[in-house]
Amino acid sequence: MVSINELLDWDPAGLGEAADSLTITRRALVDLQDEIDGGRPPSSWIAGSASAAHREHERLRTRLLDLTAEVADVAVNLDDAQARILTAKNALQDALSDASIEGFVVNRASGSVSDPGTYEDVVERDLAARRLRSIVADIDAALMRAQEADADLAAAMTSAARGRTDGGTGSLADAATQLPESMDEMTDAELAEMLGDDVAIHTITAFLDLELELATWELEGYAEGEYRVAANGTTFLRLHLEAGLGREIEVSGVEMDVSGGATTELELRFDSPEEARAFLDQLDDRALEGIGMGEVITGTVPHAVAVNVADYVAQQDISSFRVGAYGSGELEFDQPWARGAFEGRLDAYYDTRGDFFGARAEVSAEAEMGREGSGYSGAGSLAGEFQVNRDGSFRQMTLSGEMSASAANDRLDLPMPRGSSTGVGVDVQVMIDSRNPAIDEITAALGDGDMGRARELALDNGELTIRQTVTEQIASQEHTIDVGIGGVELEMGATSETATTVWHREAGRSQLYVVDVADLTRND
Amino acid sequence: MSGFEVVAQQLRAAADQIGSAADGVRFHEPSRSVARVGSALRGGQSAAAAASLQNAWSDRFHAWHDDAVAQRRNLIASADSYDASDYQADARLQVLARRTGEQLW
Repeated sequence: MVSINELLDWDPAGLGEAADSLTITRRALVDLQDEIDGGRPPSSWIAGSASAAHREHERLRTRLLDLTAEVADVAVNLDDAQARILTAKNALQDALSDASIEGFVVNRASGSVSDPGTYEDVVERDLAARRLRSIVADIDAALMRAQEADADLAAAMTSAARGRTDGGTGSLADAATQLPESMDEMTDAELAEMLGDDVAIHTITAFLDLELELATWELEGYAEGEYRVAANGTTFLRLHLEAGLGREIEVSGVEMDVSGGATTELELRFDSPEEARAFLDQLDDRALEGIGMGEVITGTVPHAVAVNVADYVAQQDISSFRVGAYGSGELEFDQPWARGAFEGRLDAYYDTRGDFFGARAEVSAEAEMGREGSGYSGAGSLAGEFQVNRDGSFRQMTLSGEMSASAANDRLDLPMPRGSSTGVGVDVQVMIDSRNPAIDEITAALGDGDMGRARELALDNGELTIRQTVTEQIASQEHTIDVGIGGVELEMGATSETATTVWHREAGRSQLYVVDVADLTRND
Repeated sequence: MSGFEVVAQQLRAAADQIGSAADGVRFHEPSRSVARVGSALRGGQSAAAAASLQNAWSDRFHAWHDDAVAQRRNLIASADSYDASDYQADARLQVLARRTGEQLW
């Protein structure tokens, strides 16, 4: 077993440096594919020593495949060991700090923990003994985790040293696709668990949007219901309601549409799609429970239904309940040097369930520079969300948006066809939470207002999920109704979105895993 | 350009490419990258494994480089000595292979 002193002395960052260096080597070896293909003796050469030269080329090719696979395998295992040993070391330091607070003495060579205190009160003595057992268990678990990570890394390096890592017979890029030892035998179910409930596989969204003109103002109302199944089968039902006022204003000769209002959002969490369906199946019965002629005569049916539904909802696992406010604006401009449109929205909310505050900003822009028809145009969208705890400490940051295929290739080694854009059904999301290894640097960059650096750090260190999706419009309708005091514009519709391929990278790691959604066990 | 000159030129191009691969492999020889593991995980099983991997990679990458350089030399020598009679022999063998359906390489 690894000792406390040894684990405290270990330097996971050193493993990260070695992993980064081998990742560069892996890329360089994969880039030799053209030279290997071009170095093949011509097929028109048959006589003389041709046969020996062809055989030797094939031997060189397969040996390079094996070497590339070895480098890739050791790189991913170093990366994996770095993350696991860092986690174990942090857990050990937490346990040692707990022991020090309790006044326990820890022998860092043998691992034994003793309590020098004397207790007259039996209850106090039992309590101290329980705390001591719990700290011993935490220390043992941290040491065991570090030992397993070390053993897996040693196994991968020994396998490479003995030439047992097989590079196959395909391309160098194929040979470089390797999984760490700890994930080599991962089943589809375990893979789905790794993606967890953050990665949506199926989403069905239905919405109702209405605008009522009142003199120069517009009354806006919006309702959206969402049914979402995550990679591990967890199913969410979300209801979002908002109401507000908006109008068109003119500032310095530029026309703008601005609006603001209030939002409410409720999200229920179910362990499986079956549980969510059972909830919906029972909703009718539960909503009308106990409602009889009495309520009909007294006109209290709506109130009774609302109370029943609220009671039924309160019995479920409510994953979030948010109240907030929003402000949005649209701006179109047409100047001799440029024309285009900006659209933005800012939402602020308080999550009563998680007791945290959040803000979400969404901006999209389309612009054409130079003379009309110049061809210099750009479009893009980005959304960012920050969450802080009640005490003001950092909770989570999420960046999502579109990324071009070439950027994805260059930054992430993502095998996407050049020229394609993530705008067509590919979403990129980067999530940073307070346990991220680069959290101090990221919060420092945010504190300095250096969003560029924060974004770069988030992209390099965050939990990254890229989903390639197929979206289907189920229904879409628009109506205009005259209600006497003004016209109502009503729009309703529903869309369904299914992820086909998911690329996922755990926080603080460099290996990107490709998951074919069809292989997941829970994807209904 | 005659047929045998084309083949000789293809042999020299292949020699250039395999020579470039040899340079790339020597330049990116990774044994030094794993040396860092020994000091990062002092006393661990990986530290010992890293030392033997360092030696194994150093030997294997250098051997690959040397063998690729030898292959380059052989291809250039073949290009230099390739002549019209070789070209005619190749053409006859190719016709034969097409008739018998035999896979040559």
